[in-house]
Amino acid sequence: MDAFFAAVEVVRNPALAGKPLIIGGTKEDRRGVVSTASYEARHFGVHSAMPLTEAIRLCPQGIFMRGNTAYYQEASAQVRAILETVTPEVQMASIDEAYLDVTGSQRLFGGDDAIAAYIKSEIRAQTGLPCTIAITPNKLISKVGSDYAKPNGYLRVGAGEERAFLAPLSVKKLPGAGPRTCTVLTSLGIVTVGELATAPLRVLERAFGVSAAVSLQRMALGVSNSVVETAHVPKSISRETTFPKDVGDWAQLERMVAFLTERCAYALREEGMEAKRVTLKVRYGDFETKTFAKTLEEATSVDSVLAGALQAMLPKGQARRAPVRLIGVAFGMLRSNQHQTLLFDGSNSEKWEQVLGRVDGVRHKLGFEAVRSGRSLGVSRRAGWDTSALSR
Amino acid sequence: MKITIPRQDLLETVNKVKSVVSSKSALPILSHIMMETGDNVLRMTATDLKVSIECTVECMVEEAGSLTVSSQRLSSILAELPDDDITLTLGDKNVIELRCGRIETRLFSMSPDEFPPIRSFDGIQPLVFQQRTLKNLFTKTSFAICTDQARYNLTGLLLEFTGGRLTVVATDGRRMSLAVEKDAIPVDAEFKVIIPSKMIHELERLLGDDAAVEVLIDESQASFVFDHVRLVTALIEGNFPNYDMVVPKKHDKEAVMDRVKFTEAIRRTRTMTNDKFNSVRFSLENGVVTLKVITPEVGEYQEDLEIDYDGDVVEIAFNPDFVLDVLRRIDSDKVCLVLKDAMSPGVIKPFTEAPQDSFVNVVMPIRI
Repeated sequence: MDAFFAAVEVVRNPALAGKPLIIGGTKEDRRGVVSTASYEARHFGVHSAMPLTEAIRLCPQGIFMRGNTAYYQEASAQVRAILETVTPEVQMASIDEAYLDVTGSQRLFGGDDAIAAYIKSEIRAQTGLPCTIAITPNKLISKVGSDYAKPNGYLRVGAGEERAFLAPLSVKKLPGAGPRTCTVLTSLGIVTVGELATAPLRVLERAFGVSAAVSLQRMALGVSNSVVETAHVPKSISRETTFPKDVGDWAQLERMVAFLTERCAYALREEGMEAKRVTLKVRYGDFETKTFAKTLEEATSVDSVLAGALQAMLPKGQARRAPVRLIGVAFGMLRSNQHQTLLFDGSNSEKWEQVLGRVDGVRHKLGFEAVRSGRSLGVSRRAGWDTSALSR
Repeated sequence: MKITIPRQDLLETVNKVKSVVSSKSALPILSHIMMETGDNVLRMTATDLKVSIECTVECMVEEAGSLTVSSQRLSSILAELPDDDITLTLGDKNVIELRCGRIETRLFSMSPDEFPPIRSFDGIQPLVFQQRTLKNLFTKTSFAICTDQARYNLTGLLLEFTGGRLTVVATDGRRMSLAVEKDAIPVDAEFKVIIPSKMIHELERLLGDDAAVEVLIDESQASFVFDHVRLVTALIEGNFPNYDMVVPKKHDKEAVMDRVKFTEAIRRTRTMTNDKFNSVRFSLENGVVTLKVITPEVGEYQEDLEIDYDGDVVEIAFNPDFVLDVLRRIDSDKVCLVLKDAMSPGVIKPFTEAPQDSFVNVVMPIRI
């Protein structure tokens, strides 16, 4: 994502478009640092991690803002949901960077260019945000390439072209080559990646030690074996919904919680897991976010047990009399469901597990909404755009 | 305070008390051992506020008094010292001087006044058991104690004494282990208490064979006194589930098998399970049980074992770890597996001629 925080602010307030925007603190917050600067601000020499006082000196006419993490996380989750429509192999490297393994999506979309065009247009259409995409043979080239092609760019590096692409770039562009490494390289007369690639290994070994020298040169040659890491075992499963308009009616919110619980529990059983901890998340109109959690006595995947625990927490969320912007449920402390029966009071939940097994069977054939509990009727997936996330 | 004591005696006593010391406590004094002099004895105390231990050891007292010393530090020094007499002296500002031959160390300590006092049980009538009796009951059952602190009432061992008969029970909600000593002592007393697992493990470690152990119990605490040791624990408050209701009484399918062969077979099945799929399917029919494991992405295992069985065909699955935990604590040559159907609890016990069982294990099945 390009100048991500600044771009989100521009979407929220289009009047900021084309202005030098600096996120990190207001002009009064002299002690902070810049977290993101818009491209207009970068023309003045402002960059991220720069002290605010320095930024104010370089760009006194800039618009300085503190930033709103909750908005950025929301936008990031939206982007992630779009990426997951391309391939399940998505690794979120940070809030605004992701690696995708698109090997398996080639035929579906019709090649690299089509994939890039699809992602860019979907992100633009759904979030209004610009992004840069680099489709390359490995993660290293993608990282360097997306830096190289931004803003709002697209770069394709084919197999075998890695070295040629890197050669003219400054060694500073390599991830892992910090200021000290670069100083030493400069003193050796090595300025570009191409020079680093052809430098005698013995020279590098003397300066950096054997293992560092080898890894530097491998990088310069564009060799990287790291895979796109999508954890297949979820650590928690959550579902949440942001309402189009803030909601103050708790009867409606209760139905939504019941609905989200049902969807979350379904996902839980699809993973073959059971949960021991339930969390209710409430974000109010002013973006204050509260979470309430409870650890259950026994891990379970039964809707009614999970829903009961969540319903019991609703009064806590209601205690703050403010309209609600987002509501969500999350299940944590997951473990695989071995169907171990219990000595005390176990028979009830065993029967429920069997009933839910049948319900899930119907859902496989006819879709999730084919069977619903009465409690959540009247709420549907279209009640608001919801971000589903299997958080790792 | 000044004492002299052989290094080996001091080390042994420190090792007895130090496992009670809590490793991560908010109160620094609880990482210390308290030492007090008596009539030519040294009394050592450690506590985590719930479980406390007091040990005495003979020594030469040159000057009476008390001190506290870091248990970790002291035991690591003692482990490295040569076998010689050790002289401990408390100097000014709570500095302890430890001399051993030509070695001299100084240790900073804390004021003994800060050390929490250990409850005394004056005026309470002790019940006297043989140490071996208790040790035997505890080692048989303690494996089934629940480790999940969310189910606090199950994190200890139930001791129920009534009509001279002592019953101990442990459960974690998935299995239950029950052991009985019918003629523990001919005393007309009654009690029913839950002793925390840490206390049980200390007792398993320290209890000996033939000598006596005094058990003292009041509303909130219990004390075990034997040899040179006194242990005190807070009782777990809460209700223990009705264990008698859980023991199946109408099971009709009873198989008898060789303990060693059965144990070896279960150990083999475990090589084919993993965290996600930890279950072994038992199929019993005339004279044979088939053990079968099918673990997705790992593989399969099957073994037929000859058993003494002539009932109807029955299939049931268990977590093999639960079965092994029980088999490890049975010492008879043959074991008994009693079943009803796939969804009812299984019972594993030693095969004996006795009319009443003294060791019963209930294991809940895994749904097939």
